[in-house]
Amino acid sequence: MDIRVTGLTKRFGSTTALSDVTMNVPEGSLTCFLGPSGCGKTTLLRVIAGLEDADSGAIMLGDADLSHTPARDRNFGVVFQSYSLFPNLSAAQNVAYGLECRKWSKADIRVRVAEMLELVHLEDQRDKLPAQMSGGQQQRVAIARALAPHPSLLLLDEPLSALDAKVREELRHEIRAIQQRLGITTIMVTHDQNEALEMADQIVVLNAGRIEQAGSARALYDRPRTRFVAEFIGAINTFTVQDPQTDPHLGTLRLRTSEPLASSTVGVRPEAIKVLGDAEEADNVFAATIEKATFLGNMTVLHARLEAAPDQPVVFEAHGPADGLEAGRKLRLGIAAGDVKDLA
Amino acid sequence: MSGAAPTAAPRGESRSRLALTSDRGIALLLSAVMAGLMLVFLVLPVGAILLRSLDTPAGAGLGNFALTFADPRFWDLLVNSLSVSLLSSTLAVGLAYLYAYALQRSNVPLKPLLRIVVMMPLFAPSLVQAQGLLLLLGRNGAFNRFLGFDFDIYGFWGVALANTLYTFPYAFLILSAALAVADARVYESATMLGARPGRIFRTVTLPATRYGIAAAVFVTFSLSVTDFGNAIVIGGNFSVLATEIYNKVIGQGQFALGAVIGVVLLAPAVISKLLEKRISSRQQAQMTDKSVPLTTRANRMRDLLLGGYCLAIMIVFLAIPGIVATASFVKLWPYNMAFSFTHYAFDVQNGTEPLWNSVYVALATAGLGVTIATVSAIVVQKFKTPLSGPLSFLAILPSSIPGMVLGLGYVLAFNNPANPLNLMYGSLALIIFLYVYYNHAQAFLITSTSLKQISSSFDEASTMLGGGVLRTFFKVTLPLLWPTLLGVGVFFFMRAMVSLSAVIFLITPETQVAAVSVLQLADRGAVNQAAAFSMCIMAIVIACLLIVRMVLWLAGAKSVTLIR
Ligand SMILES: Nc1ncnc2c1ncn2[C@@H]1O[C@H](COP(=O)(O)OP(=O)(O)O)[C@@H](O)[C@H]1O
Ligand SMILES: [Mg+2]
Repeated sequence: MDIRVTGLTKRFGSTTALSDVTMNVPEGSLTCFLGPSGCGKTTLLRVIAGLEDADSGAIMLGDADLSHTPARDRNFGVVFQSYSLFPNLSAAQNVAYGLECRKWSKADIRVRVAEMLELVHLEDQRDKLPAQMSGGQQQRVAIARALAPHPSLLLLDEPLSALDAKVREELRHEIRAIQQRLGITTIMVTHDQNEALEMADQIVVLNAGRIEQAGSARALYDRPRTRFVAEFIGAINTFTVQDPQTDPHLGTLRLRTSEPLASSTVGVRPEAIKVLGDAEEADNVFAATIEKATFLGNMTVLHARLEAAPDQPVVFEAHGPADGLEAGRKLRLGIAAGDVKDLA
Repeated sequence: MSGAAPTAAPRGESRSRLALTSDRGIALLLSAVMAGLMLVFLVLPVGAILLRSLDTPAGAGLGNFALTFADPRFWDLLVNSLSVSLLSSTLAVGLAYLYAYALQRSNVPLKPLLRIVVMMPLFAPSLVQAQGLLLLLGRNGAFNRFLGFDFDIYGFWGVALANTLYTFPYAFLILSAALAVADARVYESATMLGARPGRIFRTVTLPATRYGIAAAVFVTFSLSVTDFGNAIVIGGNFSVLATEIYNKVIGQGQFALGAVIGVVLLAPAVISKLLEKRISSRQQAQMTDKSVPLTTRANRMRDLLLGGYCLAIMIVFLAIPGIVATASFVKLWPYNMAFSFTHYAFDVQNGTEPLWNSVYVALATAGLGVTIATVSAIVVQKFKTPLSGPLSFLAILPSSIPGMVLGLGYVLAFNNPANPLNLMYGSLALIIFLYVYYNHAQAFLITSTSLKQISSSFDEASTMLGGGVLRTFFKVTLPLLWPTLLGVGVFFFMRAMVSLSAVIFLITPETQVAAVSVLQLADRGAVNQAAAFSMCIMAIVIACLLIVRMVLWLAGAKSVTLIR
């Protein structure tokens, strides 16, 4: 069943952690809440879980209003950021906990616990206490524990942030694989754009308690609606344009775009800026001077200054041999009209 | 989803409402029970004192206060109380600071031994200090009798010294904790800037521990002002306010005047408690998680000097129980020093009954105290009911009420036919409740702190998995909390074994407890038997500490503090 959140607002004293949040999590999908620290991701997740009460707004699971269902009766699985395994219970006992709460029979519990531990590849760790397991193993147990009672929704709050880079990578794939195999509706909180880009069907970008934009990774990268989204997902050059609606100019040059501009801020991804050969042409051609070139092996990051707009620096990348790309060199840069993104 | 295992029953509205009300119901019920108990055993007695102090033959009024304040004797006693407490507090804090400094900031050897020896006064009723001092320096003391000195310890100096010894461990525990935290970076900066040790002490160490010092002064001062065991045993003709209540109430049955002095004694305790609270709330952010712990550098001279000091202090703290033990094992101190077990026969008064009463009361206090402190801590911290606020205030109220005043309040409240609980009067049960609520504040704070350290994410994880309040408590919280709770139990047990002033008014021949027996024996001049009784109390307390320490050690819980 879909999860629908409408008009959710949550205040802590004078801070507004969530303001008028409305969104939809389609059944069977993985949705990431992405945003900088303190933007309200955890709060949104906790309100959905029922661990916090919203000041206003509604949460619907399919057609059922969850407002009066206490957290423990929502049948949602949660994996917390810090390890929250019960330290006095073994891996198997942790996984069994939710089943005992639901009064499953001993035999059913045994079967389900074995099944869950196998799912996260920890069959051999069943009798270990949390303190005897690595961080990655503990989070796997936490995932198994959350999934054991067949939750209708799985909630993960930065489940990987406390792990080393390598384990994080591994577990990322594993969570996604489990999620797709079980087809369970999942919400994951993260502040790591790569994690979101790699795993999510839908990314919800949050900023200061508001949703900036929601959509697939592709959609957010290709069609960011705001400067915040454009800068948070991938890198982007932003420029201020004069007379955007009537006669858009970037500095002294006319700017060609595929659609009429609404705002005076535009963005161009670094990879959309091409170094043109003498005979090459593009929708927009700028003369530029390299200010700084940083050689990074497989590519060279170039900082340059446009002659048409010397006060608006530009950064782009050159791949392949970087002969002669050094400070002071003059170039022609090309930008396709379709690559100029209108940012609010 | 795999279809083999049973799926959770679909949960309808009514079902979830029910669950909500049952958890909420438990929360409200427990809050109400805790609030009720606190009203009856805390608010009511304190209220009774205040009311009684205003109760004059001519109706309610300040007549009793006027009468008391018009009596020059009252002002003498007030000056006595304040001066003796000021002196003993200053001495205790000064000596304990240096002692704690030696243990925390130098490399003196045998630190565990040094630490435990100065805790000895906590294992016995306060008046054992006076008892020991008399056996050492009194008219019939070892120094005067056997070494040819001519000390006169009775009076001001005796009380001051006895209270210094009695309050030293309290000061030491506070100062030791204050000196334990130190940020090495500050010390290294001072050194690199060219500061010499004396200057570093004045500019870094002292300022960093000034809140600890203030807290230690307050605690020792209020302990001294409200203690009455030492003053009665070693004071001679020197009286203080605490002994005056005793005389007014027990000697002359003047409850109203006793209540007036009770109110007066409440004042310094409340004031110092308020100041202490304000000060400790300011101490918070001294250590950050970036602080680097200070390690002690080698310094022979320093260790030698401080080692000598510690040795001297240790000898004093060993001498007191040592001389009491000696007196308990000789035929007739100081005339017949032949070894004898006769004083352990306890063939006077009620025999060993008070001792068993004490053990029974102490065990019951531990059990009931731990339960009540834990439930109050949970109610205040985890349940958000309308009662949480008032409860958290009441829970720490007892720490500012002197034991003697609370005890008098119990007499006034319960020895009253109008009180339906009147039949508890004269029973051990009432004494147990008195001990529980007298020590409630500290036990509550310890339990709350531990409860806070148990991450709230366990509660939330349990909730999300469908666990109710009770399941979470018994499956998760209790298994993590029990070592602390055992420690709290030991704390209640120890306090119940040794507290004298709290129960002095509640005692009947049937409900006699050991600490009161010591006082009565000492008062009657039965020096050797009083000593034997004291030794038994100490032995029981120490045995309890050892047993619990062993249990904790076997369970792998080694870092639990037992002595507070
Ligand atoms: N329990 C709370 N009490 C007060 N403020 C809170 C609480 N929880 C979160 N906040 C505030 O709400 C905002 C959002 O917090 P959070 O949801 O934890 O952010 P994120 O998970 O995105 O880092 C922050 O400003 C935070 O300080
Ligand atoms: Mg967060």
